Parts: sequence; structure tokens; C-alpha cells
Amino acid sequence: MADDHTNALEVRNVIKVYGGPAQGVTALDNVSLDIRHNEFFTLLGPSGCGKTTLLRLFAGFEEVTEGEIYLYGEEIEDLAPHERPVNTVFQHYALFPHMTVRDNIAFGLRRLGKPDSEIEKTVREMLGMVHMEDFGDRRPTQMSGGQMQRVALARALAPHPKVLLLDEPLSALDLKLRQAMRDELQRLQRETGITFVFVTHDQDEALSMSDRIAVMSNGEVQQIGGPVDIYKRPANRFVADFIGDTNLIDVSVGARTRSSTKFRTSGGVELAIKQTTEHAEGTDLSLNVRPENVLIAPVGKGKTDGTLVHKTFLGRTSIYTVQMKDGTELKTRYSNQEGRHHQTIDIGDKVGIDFAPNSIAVLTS
Amino acid sequence: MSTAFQKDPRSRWLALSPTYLVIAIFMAIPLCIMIVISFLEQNVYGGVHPNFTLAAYQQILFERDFDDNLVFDPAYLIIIGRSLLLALVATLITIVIGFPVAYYIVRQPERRRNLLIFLVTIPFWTNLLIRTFAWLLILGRGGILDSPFKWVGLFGPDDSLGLLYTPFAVVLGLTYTYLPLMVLPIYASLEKLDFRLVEAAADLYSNKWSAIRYVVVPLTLPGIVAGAILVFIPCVGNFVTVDLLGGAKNLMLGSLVQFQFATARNWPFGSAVAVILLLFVVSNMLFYARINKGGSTQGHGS
Ligand SMILES: Nc1ncnc2c1ncn2[C@@H]1O[C@H](COP(=O)(O)OP(=O)(O)O)[C@@H](O)[C@H]1O
Ligand SMILES: [Mg+2]
Repeated sequence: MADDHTNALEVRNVIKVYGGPAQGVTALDNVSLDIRHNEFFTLLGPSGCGKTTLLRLFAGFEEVTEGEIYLYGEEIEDLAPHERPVNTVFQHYALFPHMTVRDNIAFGLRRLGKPDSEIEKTVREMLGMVHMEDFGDRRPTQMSGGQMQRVALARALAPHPKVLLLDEPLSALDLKLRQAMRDELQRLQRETGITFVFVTHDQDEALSMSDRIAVMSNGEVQQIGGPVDIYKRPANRFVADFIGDTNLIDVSVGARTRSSTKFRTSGGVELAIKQTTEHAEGTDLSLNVRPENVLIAPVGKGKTDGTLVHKTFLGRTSIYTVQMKDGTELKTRYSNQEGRHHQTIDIGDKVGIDFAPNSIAVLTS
Repeated sequence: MSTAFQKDPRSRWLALSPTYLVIAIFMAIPLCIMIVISFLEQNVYGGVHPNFTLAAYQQILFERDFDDNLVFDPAYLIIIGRSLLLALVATLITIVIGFPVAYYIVRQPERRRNLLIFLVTIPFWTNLLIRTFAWLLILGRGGILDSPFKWVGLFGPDDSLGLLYTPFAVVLGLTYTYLPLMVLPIYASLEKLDFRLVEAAADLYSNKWSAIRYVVVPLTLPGIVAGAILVFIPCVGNFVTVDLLGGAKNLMLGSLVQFQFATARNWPFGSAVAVILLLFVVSNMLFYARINKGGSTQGHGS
């Protein structure tokens, strides 16, 4: 049926306006993206950026204002939610309180008119898959959040949908459980071979689970790519800032040689970086450096000198804040492995500031 | 505020004592009097003789013939049966009409919802007698429903559709009178329903009807049952609507009781019929309490 070259979902120039064109809220502004067959795809962005809206368009709970959505090549605009071979794991579980766990999981299969023997077999499989074998006869009201989450997953997976939609399914769980569920979700995706579309505002979640991520903001897709790609090569300041900790340094392009470029901060500090750029001299842009790529060097041995102004102990790592001569502060992250020289530096000490090779991304927007 | 009350059961009883007083004076004592009267001897000039007898209960099933023998007489059983049947039919119709009405209202924006619920209660602001008389004018001979036939010339001056004084008229009147009592409790339980569950049902391949059948109805069953009881009980006991629209042919329990006290001067028999009615009501309530208990243990989902 669906070979690996087909896209599970194709979103083409979708615009979604809530509440009439006159005074409406634009939740999605010309969104286009492809979600591939059998991948773990994540929609990541701050609250209110339109992630849930996009998911609800997939499920059929909302209608697009403009644009098209294709499910395995078929336009789904005219299909009601119950006619779409996709299932949703709702943020608040939405388990049926008047049914046992078993009946909850069987619900979709029953509506599809599957034979009883098949339903029973699938329900048993699903209970096993989410490690809830002993809970079949319980009611959702008698379970913890984590257990309800598993049942919600089992219920949505039972009809074996073509695409599984998950709307911040882990946000109501505590930290430990959330970590465990990440692995669990990845395992389920691989075991079932179902395309997962996962919505979250948590970048750690997105980075750790996804094959690919679409970063969204204000109803627009900012960047689509793999976790490493998005982390190391953010497309713009928004993505750089939203994903992980970072340092954004405003500079203008100075003298360029064949292999290196001088960047000048507004405060007059010059940074000579072994990196070429296609931008003309005088262009204003931003340099993006992750804290783990900012290095503390002996005075005079770095790209420039500065002062240590702050230390934050975080357990495994520490964040050191260094200030360049123009007042710009840079965060640097160090492992707290024993015997590292930086552990002897104190606030107020003069230090050299260096950058790991090829670690600087140039952002124009 | 009420922590002191909750800690000391005695003061809580004290705080509730007016309630118990009201219940005792206005419900328990009259009820006891009624039950006692049902076991006493009839005084044909009204009131009772203070002698114990089961005659009133006998009268429901048996009649004394000319030789003073008891013979089985189904006349009152027929009345009881008819009452229950017509009340049941009226109740079912109010469910069939009331549920979609309540569902429609609850899906409206909040301001509109309140307005619509207000409109549902408006009939209560007019006297029942007047509203029932209106039905007389609609259903009766030469009434609103008859007149088009007359104008077209299908009817002679004395012809009629004959809708009035039929079981149909009674059921119509009862349905009309008690429909709000069905809409309100169903609305109340629908308002508490988490409509995200309906979305979940649609997501899991339920069309509109399946979602209502498998999710909405089970979760609002307490409201439906409450409405059914609120409608069924007064339907059985109603005599204004039944007398006016049903006439003498369609005597029901309520009218029977009323007739025994007001006209036949047979207080014990009237009381006995009322006691039977009461037993019926209480058993209904117990049934409701059971369903409601089952519902509330399921009802606290997310
Ligand atoms: N039913 C609705 N009616 C009007 N505006 C809505 C509705 N749902 C969402 N919005 C608006 O659309 C925008 C995107 O919302 P949403 O898709 O829920 O974002 P996210 O899931 O990323 O937090 C927000 O500004 C939100 O206020
Ligand atoms: Mg959301």
C-alpha cells in the first residue's frame, strides 16, 4: 500500500483563521510541510504557535481556511474525523470514564465493526504493549496519570491508524515518568511502524525522540530538520534561541580573507573566526555559539579576553558567564569532571575566550 | 465556615433541625395520617369511623355484589394500568423530544444557552389550568385543528376530528405539561459532560449517532433517569390535564383519588389508592438512587 517514498502527510499552503475573516485569529499562516511514512515527526514551538491547530486539522476536528492536506496522497478535507484513518492521543487522555480499560481500547475496533475474536486479541496485545495487562478491568478513574496515559496510547494504537497524532501527551506527567515515556514512545513507534506526529513545547523531548522536527512560531514553520541539524544549524535567531541554550552575538562583517572572517561587535570587539562567509563586508548579522562551544583559555590565548562574572553549579555541568570588553556576556558550559583547570577560576578573574572549531553559525534573521 | 459543624455531629443536627421540622410537619405527619385513614372505615358523610379494616384495599380488587359476596372487579386495575401506560408513553415521548432539545441548547454559546433555558421554563409562569384550556381550544370540536377542514368543506357543522377526550389528547397534554421537567435535568447533566470525550469518540470512528449512543447517553443517564422520574410521577398523579383533555372515559389514578375525596366521600379508598401510588413512587426513587450511584462512581473522569 504505502511504500517508503510516499509521504504520510503533505501540508500545502495551509492557512487557518479562527472566528471569521474580519476579526479572526490567524493560527496557521501558510504552513507547508511533508511528514514521511513511518517517521517520528515532532511539531515543536512555544504555546500558542499553532501546533494543536495543525494536529486538529489532521484529525478533522477543524477545517482549513485555505490550502490542502493529503494523507498518503489522498486529499482529506472532505472526510469527517471518524472517516480518517488517524487516531489521536489527547493531552488530557479523554478516556471514557464509564468504560473499563478493555472497553476503552476496544472502542475504535468495535466502531469499525471488527469481529469479536479479533478485538479480543488486539486488546490483549495492546495491553501487553503498554505493560497494562493487569488493568484491563479497571476504570480510568481508578488509575494514575501515567497509567491513563498508557491506556490512551493503547486505545489510539489499537485500530492501527495510518498516522498517530499525539498532543503534548507527556506534559501532565512528572519528570521521572516523562523520561521513561520518551523511550516508551520511541519503542512503540518502531514496533508498530506507524507514523507518529508528536506535538510538544519541550525542546528536550523533541530533540531526544524525533526523526525530524518542525519548529514553529506564530503560526509559521521556522525550520524543518533532524534534531542535530536544528541544534547545530538553526535557520534563524528564533530557532537558535528556542532550541537549547545559546549565545547570540550581534556583529557586522569586517575584513575577510580566504579562510577566515573578522566580525566586529557593536561595542568594538573584533573576533577573527576561521570560517568563510558569503556575506559582504558591513553586513549586520548574528553569531550563534552554543555554551559548550565557548571555551575558557589562558589570557591572551583566545579570540579575545574577558572577565568571569558568574558561576552556576548545575550538578553534572556548570555554567560560567564571561564578559567581553564591550560588556557582552557569553555563557559557557563545562563538565564538572574532577581535575579540570577551570574549576580553579574565580569570579573577577581575567580569562581568554575561545570558540571550538566550526562551532559558530551565522544567522541573518 | 462550617468546620465546627462538621466536627461536632450534634451541632450539625442542630443546624439542620429546621429542615427536619419542615419535613416532619409537611410530609411525614400528613403521610402517616393518610396511611392510617386508608386502614379505617368509611363514613359516607365524609371523614372516617375509627375502626380498623382492610376494606379500602379490598375495594381496589373486589366488589360486593347483591348477596354481599366479594367478586373480582378489574375496573380499578384497568384505571391503574391505563395510568401507568399513558404516563409511560408520555415519559418516553418527553425523552425523545427533550434529549435533542437539551443537546441543542448545551451546544450553543453561553449567552444564548441561558436565554434558551429561560424560554424552556416560561410555560411554568402561566397557570396550568389556562394552558390546558388552550389545548381544549386547539383539539376540541370546532377548534383550531378542526377549522381548516370546515373551511375547505370536508366537515359539516357538527363534524370533528374527534381528537379531544381520547388517550391521544391525554398523552399530548401530559407531554406538553411536563416536557420542561425532562429538558432541565438532561441539560444539567449534558452541561457537565466533557465534550472532548465526544471528540475522542469521533476520532475512534464513531459517527454522530454512535458517539451519542455509546458516550453521551451513558454519561448523561442520571439526568435522563431523573427527568423520567420527574415526568412519570406527576403524570400518574395528574388530574387537571387528564380530566380536561381525557374526559370521563379516560379516568386515571390522580383523578380517581381526587374523585374519592371530593365527590364520593370515600376517604379510606382514596387514601389506599394514594398509598399504592406512593409505593410506586418510592420504588422508582430507589431505582434512580441505584443508577445514580453507579453513574457517579464513573462520572469523575478527567
Ligand atoms: N477554537 C479557537 N478559537 C479561536 N482561537 C483559537 C482556537 N483554538 C486556538 N486558537 C488560537 O489559535 C492560536 C494557536 O493555538 P494552538 O493551536 O492551540 O497553539 P498551541 O497548541 O501551539 O499552543 C492561539 O493564538 C489560540 O489562541
Ligand atoms: Mg496545544
